[in-house]
Amino acid sequence: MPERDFDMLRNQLLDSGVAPRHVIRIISELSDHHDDIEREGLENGMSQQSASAMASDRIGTQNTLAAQVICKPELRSWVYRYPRLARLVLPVAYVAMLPLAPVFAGVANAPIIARWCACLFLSGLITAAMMLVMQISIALS
Amino acid sequence: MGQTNPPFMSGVPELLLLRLLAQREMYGYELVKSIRLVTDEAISLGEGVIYPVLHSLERNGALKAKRKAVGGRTRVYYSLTAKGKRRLEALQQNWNRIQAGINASLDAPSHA
Repeated sequence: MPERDFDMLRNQLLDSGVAPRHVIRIISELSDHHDDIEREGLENGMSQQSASAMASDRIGTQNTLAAQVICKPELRSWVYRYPRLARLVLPVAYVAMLPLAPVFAGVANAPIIARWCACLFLSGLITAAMMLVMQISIALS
Repeated sequence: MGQTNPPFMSGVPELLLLRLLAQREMYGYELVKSIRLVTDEAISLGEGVIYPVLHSLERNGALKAKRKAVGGRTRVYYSLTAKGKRRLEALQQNWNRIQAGINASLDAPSHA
C-alpha cells in the first residue's frame, strides 16, 4: 500500500471516530508490515515494483482494513463510545478551558508571535533613534 | 492476497493469535508468518486484518504490547496476559465443542 493510501486510511479511521493512539499505531505497524513483505519479495529475487505490489496485495485494501478497525467499538475514542457523557462533560471542560485559550493559541502560533514581537521591537527602536536624531538636530540649531 | 474465507473465520484469528502468543511474544509480521506455517497455509488472512484484532485484544486486557528496538527498527511485540490465557482456554474449549459437533454430524449415518 503506497504512502498516500496509508494517509487516506489514517484520515478514514480518524473521521470514523477511531482513537488517535490506535490509528497512529495501526498505521505504523501496517507500514512496517508492508516493508517486511517487500523485503521478503526482494530477497526472493522479485523486482522492487513486483515486491511492492505483492506487499500491497497481501496487506489488504484500504476499505477492507478500515472496515475491520471501524467494526470494533472498543477501538473508538471515548467521545464516540459514550456520546451522552461527552455531551455532558465537553461543554463544561471547554468553558473551564476558555481562560487558557490565549495561552494555547500563543503556544500553537509561537513562531508568528515571536516574529511579530521582533518587528514591533525593531520598529520601536527605529522610531526612538529617529526621535533622538530630531532632538539632537533641534538642540544644535 | 490469497483466497480468504471471511464469514467462517470470525473468532478464528483471535484463537490463532492467542495460541501463538501463548508460546512466546511476537510482532505482527512474525505472527502472520507463524499462522501460515502452523496451519500449513490452510488459513489465509488479509495480513493487515490482524492488527485490529491485536489492538482489540490489548484493549480488553488479553494482550500486552511493548515497543522494542530490533536491528535498528522499533517493533511492537505482543505477549499474553493472565486474562489472555483464560480467554484462550475458553476459546479452545468452545472450538473443541464445535469441532466435536461437526465431527459427530459428519460421522452420523446418512438418512437420504
